[in-house]
Amino acid sequence: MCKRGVGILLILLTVPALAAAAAPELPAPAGSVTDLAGVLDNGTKGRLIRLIQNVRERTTAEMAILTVPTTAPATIQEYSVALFDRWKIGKRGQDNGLLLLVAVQDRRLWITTGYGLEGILPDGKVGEIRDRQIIPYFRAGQYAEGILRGTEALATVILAQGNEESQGHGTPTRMSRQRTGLWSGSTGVLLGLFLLLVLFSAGLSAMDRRRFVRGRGTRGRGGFWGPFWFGSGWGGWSGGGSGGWSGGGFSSGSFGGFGGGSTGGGGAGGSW
Amino acid sequence: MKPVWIVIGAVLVLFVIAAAIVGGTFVSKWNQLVTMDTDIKAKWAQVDNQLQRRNDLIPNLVETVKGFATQERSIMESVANARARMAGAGSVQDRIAASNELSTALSRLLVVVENYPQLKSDATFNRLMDELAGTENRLAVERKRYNDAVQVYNVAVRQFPGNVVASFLGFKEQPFFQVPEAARQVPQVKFQ
Repeated sequence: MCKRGVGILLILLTVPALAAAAAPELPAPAGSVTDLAGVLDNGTKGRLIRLIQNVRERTTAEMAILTVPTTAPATIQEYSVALFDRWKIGKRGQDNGLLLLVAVQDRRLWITTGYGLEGILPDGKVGEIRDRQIIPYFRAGQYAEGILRGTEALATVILAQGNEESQGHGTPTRMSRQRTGLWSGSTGVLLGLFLLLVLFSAGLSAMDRRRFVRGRGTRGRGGFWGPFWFGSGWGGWSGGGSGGWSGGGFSSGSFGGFGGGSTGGGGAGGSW
Repeated sequence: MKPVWIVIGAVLVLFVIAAAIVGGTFVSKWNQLVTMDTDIKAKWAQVDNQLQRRNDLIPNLVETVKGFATQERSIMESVANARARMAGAGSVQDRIAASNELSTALSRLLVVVENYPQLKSDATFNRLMDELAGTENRLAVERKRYNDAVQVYNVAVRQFPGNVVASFLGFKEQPFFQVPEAARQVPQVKFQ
């Protein structure tokens, strides 16, 4: 009778599977700075990594930078949100992640904020940083400089807020979406009922064997349990995909991964 | 004990077990549908938040645009009307329809705005455009999450034995938030 449990599990498995089906191929993070377009020199990259590390240590907020040649066939917005969901940037529960995505060939960038940063970095403010610190350099082809200046400006805002909040408790601007436990009360009741049924059926099958084996006793256990697994056709279209789904962030190699944050699609971007 | 009693007893036990299976399936399916239905409502609430947020941005946007683009009265009016209808819409279906109408009106406005370089260099306008683009993006995100939840739920409502339980308890299929092609172009801010 754990069908409900199975059902919830299926939902948990199916939704990311569906999301993954629609999402483009997403790269794995090589650290807080992943430069797939190859526009960052080692010096700038090192400075960015140290800056991001500093922000994380002082405020727990996580920043991630990714450069790619193109986000096609997805739009940069879709790509950003899908990537944010995959990498889970930001601390779980606080959702204080930020992603700066630059698609060099597309000449587009997008800065995505986690739920918890929307309050201190509203879209308008992010847009201002983009206009003042990033776009002018990008237009001149100085990608490394633009990314560095933009990240510094964003970090300054986050750090200023972090210092204010370190006295009190940093309250996320939005309650993190609640995660339902698999073992709720009614599941327990159903589990009890299930066990009862198993006992029943054990007794029955024992009786079955003794009483009905000779007559028309071909009704096996499979037939008896049939109705239970009617729902299992479900597995068909949720199968595959979402392998290794886990609560935490994406991790690879020596990089420890991000903290499990999520985004609602806030932020700003544009083309240059 | 006579054999006939044993048979009757066995039949009774079988009956009880069958009833337990049917009842158990019913209850678990019921609970499952309730869980999904609640999930959809929560996700719709997130969609609605963003619809509301967008509605709140529009008066400021219209005011700012009016200052520069005085000739575009009819487009301003269509945006204002669509916003009013949006505010008045109650049911999920109505709000989806009104939202799509508003999206269409907004995208027309944003096309027109291209002709006003002064407006595009205005700081207030640019902040509003960022807020609007961000809100559209949030709306797209929440819409997708809502649609994913509706899809899972609608399958459960139509599939056996969910369909029996659903029709008995009055669970109906929920509408997807579909966006017509015309309104699909997310307002893009271009910087010259």
